[in-house]
Amino acid sequence: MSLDNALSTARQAVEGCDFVGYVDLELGMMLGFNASEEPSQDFTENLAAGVVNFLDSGPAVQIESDLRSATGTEAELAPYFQDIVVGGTDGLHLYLRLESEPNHVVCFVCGFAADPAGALHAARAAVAEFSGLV
Amino acid sequence: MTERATIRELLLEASEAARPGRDAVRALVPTPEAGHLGALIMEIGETILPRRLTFSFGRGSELFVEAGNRRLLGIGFSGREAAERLGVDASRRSKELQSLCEILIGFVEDGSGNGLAVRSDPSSLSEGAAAGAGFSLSEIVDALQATESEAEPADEAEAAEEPEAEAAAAPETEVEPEPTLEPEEAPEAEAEIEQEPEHATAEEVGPEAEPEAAPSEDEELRAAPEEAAEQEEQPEPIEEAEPAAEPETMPAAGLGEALSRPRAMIEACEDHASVGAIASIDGKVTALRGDEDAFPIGNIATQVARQVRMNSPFLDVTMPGEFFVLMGPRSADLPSLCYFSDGEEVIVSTVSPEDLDSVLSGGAREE
Repeated sequence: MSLDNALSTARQAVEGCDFVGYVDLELGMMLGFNASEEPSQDFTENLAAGVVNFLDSGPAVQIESDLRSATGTEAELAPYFQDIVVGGTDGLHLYLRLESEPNHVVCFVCGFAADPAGALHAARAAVAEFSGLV
Repeated sequence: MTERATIRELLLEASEAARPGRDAVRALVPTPEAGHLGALIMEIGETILPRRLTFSFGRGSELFVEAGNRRLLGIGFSGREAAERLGVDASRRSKELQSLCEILIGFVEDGSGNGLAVRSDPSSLSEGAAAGAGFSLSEIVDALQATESEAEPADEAEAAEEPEAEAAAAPETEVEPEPTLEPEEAPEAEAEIEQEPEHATAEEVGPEAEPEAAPSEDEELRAAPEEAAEQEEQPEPIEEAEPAAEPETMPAAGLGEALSRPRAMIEACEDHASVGAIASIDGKVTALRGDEDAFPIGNIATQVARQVRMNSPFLDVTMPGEFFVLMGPRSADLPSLCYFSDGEEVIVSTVSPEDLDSVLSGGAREE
């Protein structure tokens, strides 16, 4: 499966999802996306930068470190956080790391009515298909 | 030739190492004398190669300037539009300078209470265009002083601005800004911002705050607005906040209004969490629940506030307004972290794996 196909399949798999993007945390860039309507470049750039900040910025690393010491998981090498749910007044974002490639993140942007629990469940299943694509 | 090749290699390495997106936005530390206005001016003064500097305050407005050669060359309000070139037409220079000062002062006033951040991008102006025109720092500082003295502070709000504008004159003595302020003051102030809440939370507060505890839920709900009022009353100059009052015990539920999704979700978290903290957007912890020694939730809240500050320019585009974040762990038996931000403060707590579903369903919308 190509990245484009995987993005398209993932968007259809999550009810109420308008946009799916694939972000490389190392590069800080969105490598691809599929959307119901063409998003502005501003949107994709800011989304990618936001995802990097949530998962790989100085504060994020510090938060992980604090949580690791509080939970006795200092020795683990894998990142503490696997997925992020951001709920706003008029939208819902989900950022999920790939199990196999923690520096790669699939972002789902859903509308107002999306159910966080249902969307997260579906997104987790959809993200498994991205393994090894990039 | 070898020297040139080495330089080229170094430049290539440097450009490859530059990672778009990461650290693209930097928080600016208010200068002790001039506050945010001073920080903004210093940033322009440190810009030699032509750059577009986009300044933003939390979730507030955005201002960008074209800067280069330590001069302000143009100004604009939306990243999509071209900057208005300034100082090109000699007959309009003084009028433009005056307008510029009003814009800068207004921008800083609008954003007060939030952290100032800057994003630096390549300039849309050519280097040739950047070489001339615009305004030097000394011109801007002089004009700011003049603008400020004309607008004699008539009320308290204006009086509060005065030190800022006055201090904006600080770099003026040196005409070019490199000088004294940045190397010495800025790192110090930064360190204070990052460390001060840690003292307050981890060492002083944790043990004392704990035993107070356990008022009834009704009492806690009523206490919440009072706490908010107290927080607003604090003038909160970051640098002086060091020996600040102890954070209070965090109420069990701090948000009793009609619930938007973000508020519903954080309230669902608060219902279950054994540890939690509230911090101002500057990172100062104002309320704590739980044993800080056992779980550094105060430190985490400080970092969350920092993360929100860094993220606000992006979220302003992708998710404006208040928001809720649930950060889920890799391992299903570890706690998640959740927080709410309205741009002024953050409420942070943990969520145990058992409570995750009920928190998520707290965010389901009924249409």
